[in-house]
Amino acid sequence: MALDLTAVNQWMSAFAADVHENADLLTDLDRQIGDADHGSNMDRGMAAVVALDPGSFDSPAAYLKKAGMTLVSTVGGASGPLYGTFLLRVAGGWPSDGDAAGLGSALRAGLDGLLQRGRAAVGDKTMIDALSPALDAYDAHAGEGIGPALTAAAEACAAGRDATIPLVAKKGRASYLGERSAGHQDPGATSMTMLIEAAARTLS
Amino acid sequence: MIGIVVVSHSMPLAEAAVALAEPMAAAGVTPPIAVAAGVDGGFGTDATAISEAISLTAEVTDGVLILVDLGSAILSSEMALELVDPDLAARTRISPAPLVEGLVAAVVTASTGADLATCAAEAEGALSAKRSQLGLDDDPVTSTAPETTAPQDSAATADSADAAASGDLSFDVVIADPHGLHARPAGALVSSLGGLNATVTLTNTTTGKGPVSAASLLTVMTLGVKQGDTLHADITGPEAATALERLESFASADAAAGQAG
Repeated sequence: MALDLTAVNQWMSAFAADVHENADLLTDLDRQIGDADHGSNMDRGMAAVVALDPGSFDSPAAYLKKAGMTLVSTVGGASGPLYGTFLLRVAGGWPSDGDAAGLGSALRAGLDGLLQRGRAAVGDKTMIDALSPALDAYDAHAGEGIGPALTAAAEACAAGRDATIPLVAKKGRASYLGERSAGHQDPGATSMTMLIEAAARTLS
Repeated sequence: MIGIVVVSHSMPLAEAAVALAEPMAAAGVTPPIAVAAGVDGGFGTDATAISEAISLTAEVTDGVLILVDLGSAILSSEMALELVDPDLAARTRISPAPLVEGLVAAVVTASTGADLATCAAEAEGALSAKRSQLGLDDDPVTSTAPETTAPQDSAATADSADAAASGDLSFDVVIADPHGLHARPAGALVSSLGGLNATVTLTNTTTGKGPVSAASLLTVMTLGVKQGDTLHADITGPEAATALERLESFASADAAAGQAG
């Protein structure tokens, strides 16, 4: 499938549906180590993204950019500027010819934006811990095409998400808890895995 | 003059903080202040709203200081700086100061016409005035205002006394306000002396604290001037006479506050 406007719209719609369905889960995870608003915040933001008319954009990059800005202005918590930055950077690098390497570069630009915005590193118990191994797996399988690369990325993302459970948080509100943040799955890594899994279902 | 943007998760909190800080500056010289707070009537911060507040404020000022409350207010403000014109972003700074204390210091300092670096330094040091009042700092706070020429140690104080003896002006007032020299009159005093080509240092001669620069609300507050204390001012510079008039106005307002109290 080409990485066109329709595909990107399906990606955002699939992510929005997953977030909506799992809003209570995300909020519960956030209640354990944060401020219990990740699910409701992301659900509100993605509902606003889905309300965008894809027909009013002339490129997938323009649509993704607007989706990012929409999250920035509707989510409210730290997830707004984080997911907003991710989508803006991904939009900025979106490949015109739909090849696997180009999509990998675009996603990595998004990761770089997150690293810069959140000043987080791998191991800090954040969405980075899911996204970073996911993109490494993507790159390792990019030669097989977008489909296999995204499937590998989704699996690595989920593994990275699960691996946040024993970690002690170093960034965000969970870091206030120190050692007590260990034993809980990171909500941001959980929603990030939904985003990459949605990509694997819609872009490949 | 520089402008100020207040970023908060809560619009009522931001508006109340601004309402508290604005009267601290002398009348007529309040800096432009924009608020970016809340999301859809609830708690949250919005980088696009912040970027609009920065743009509106930066266009009519020489620089913008952003005061933030918690957590994502910083993330959103940083993102907002990427969304505005790079020329405007280059003269905008995010302050690590505590919101209310930093805002008061920033408003008063901006009202004197101080530049962005000076206002940022005053805001950032705002917590130290509270520390001093609580007795958590043994050393008096020194001014962070770079334009000040106030002596900072006892050796310099002696030099200052010599300079004062050579014909510069001085002024003494016994503070009548029952609350002493609290933030509002102190802010008005700093604000009214701002922009003058004169250097004013203040000493609490009752307690021996000082001298400190009158250009900094922070340092003036550390004098801990109470009702009945004598506040002494040394004034130098081409506009010393005007500064003396402003001090006399301040003393009249203080006397009125004493009678009212």
